[in-house]
Amino acid sequence: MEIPKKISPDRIKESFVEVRYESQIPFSALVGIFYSHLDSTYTYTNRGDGAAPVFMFYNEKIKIELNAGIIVFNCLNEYLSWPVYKYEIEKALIQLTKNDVIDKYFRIGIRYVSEYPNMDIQELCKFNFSFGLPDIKSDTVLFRSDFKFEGYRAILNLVHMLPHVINDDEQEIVPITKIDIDIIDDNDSKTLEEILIRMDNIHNKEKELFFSLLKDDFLKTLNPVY
Amino acid sequence: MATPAINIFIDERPENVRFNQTGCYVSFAQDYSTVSNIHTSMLNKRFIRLYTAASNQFKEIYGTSPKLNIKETFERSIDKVIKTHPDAISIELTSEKSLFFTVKKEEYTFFLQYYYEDVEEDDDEAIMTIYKNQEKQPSYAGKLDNTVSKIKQIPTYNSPKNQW
Repeated sequence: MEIPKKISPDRIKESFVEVRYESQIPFSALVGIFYSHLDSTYTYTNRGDGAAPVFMFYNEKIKIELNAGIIVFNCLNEYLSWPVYKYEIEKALIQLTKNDVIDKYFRIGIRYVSEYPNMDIQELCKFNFSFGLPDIKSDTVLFRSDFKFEGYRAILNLVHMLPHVINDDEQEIVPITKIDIDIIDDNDSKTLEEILIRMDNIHNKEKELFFSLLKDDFLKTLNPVY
Repeated sequence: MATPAINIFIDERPENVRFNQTGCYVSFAQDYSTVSNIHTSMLNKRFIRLYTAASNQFKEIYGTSPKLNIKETFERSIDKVIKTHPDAISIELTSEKSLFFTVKKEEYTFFLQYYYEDVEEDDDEAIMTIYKNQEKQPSYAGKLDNTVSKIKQIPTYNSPKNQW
């Protein structure tokens, strides 16, 4: 199928990119090394109690969360588009991994969550769900599938009309439908160049699966640009 | 209560997502997902927004970034307040060297003032005024931990609109 380069609105709520790595340096020391490597456009902060702090860096566009052996990127505000977002990830990774502090990269995951207020999942998605009582119409559906997808592991979460509060003043509760796609590559890489290529490939699979799920009529409403 | 200084920052939707009992972002045992706890990640985003707002207001007032001890006090207090899982939250820096939080949760509004200058975690002070709808409730003063525990006592899923 032909995959759009852009849709508008994109409805992307979360856009996680996770890189898992191996290092001989203890994580507590690595946080300090990362701090010294990053330029002054990044702000360091941490939250949580002493037992389980969350170490974070952020600039105007992205945030970076550090856990032992895991670096997680996410757009700080609205989605940036993949070329801009990937540039931000690459820029941060080049700085973080200076002086060969990382020995090996292995798993990479990209997870996008898109949200559609007040929309029936069957209007936007090729999805059917029924069980032993076919006359029942579910108010809310939560569906999770974990499967192999062209050499990658995919985890698909579909949510139909889950109520969320969207207006604080009125306490307005609106049912939200979500498409949550997680594509995971479990291979190993030694170099940053390799993982950047792998990221592009995973992102392409993410798009492929996402657009395969959408109904043609609904896709047309998103103003696709090919 | 002190008069808020400048630049009110309000953290609203879409980050402020409420999860009901059947929320999709539950933790699966040994979850293989990228970002196994998406809720924590969203909480971190909210934390960064509030922390950035407080730091920027500090720079505007004092012309410099907060020193390490004040930075840590900001981080610690913001973390404690966002863990009350409010529907909406705003932060302001006051001229009395305090952080002024406005927290909305269900039908309650909490105005929480926390003094950040020269405080130790074990010896801090917060003052909280509470409204239920428009009706004033008894105020509360004490350590920040005890004060936020009052907010936590408000059940998140209490609203009749949110019973499923």
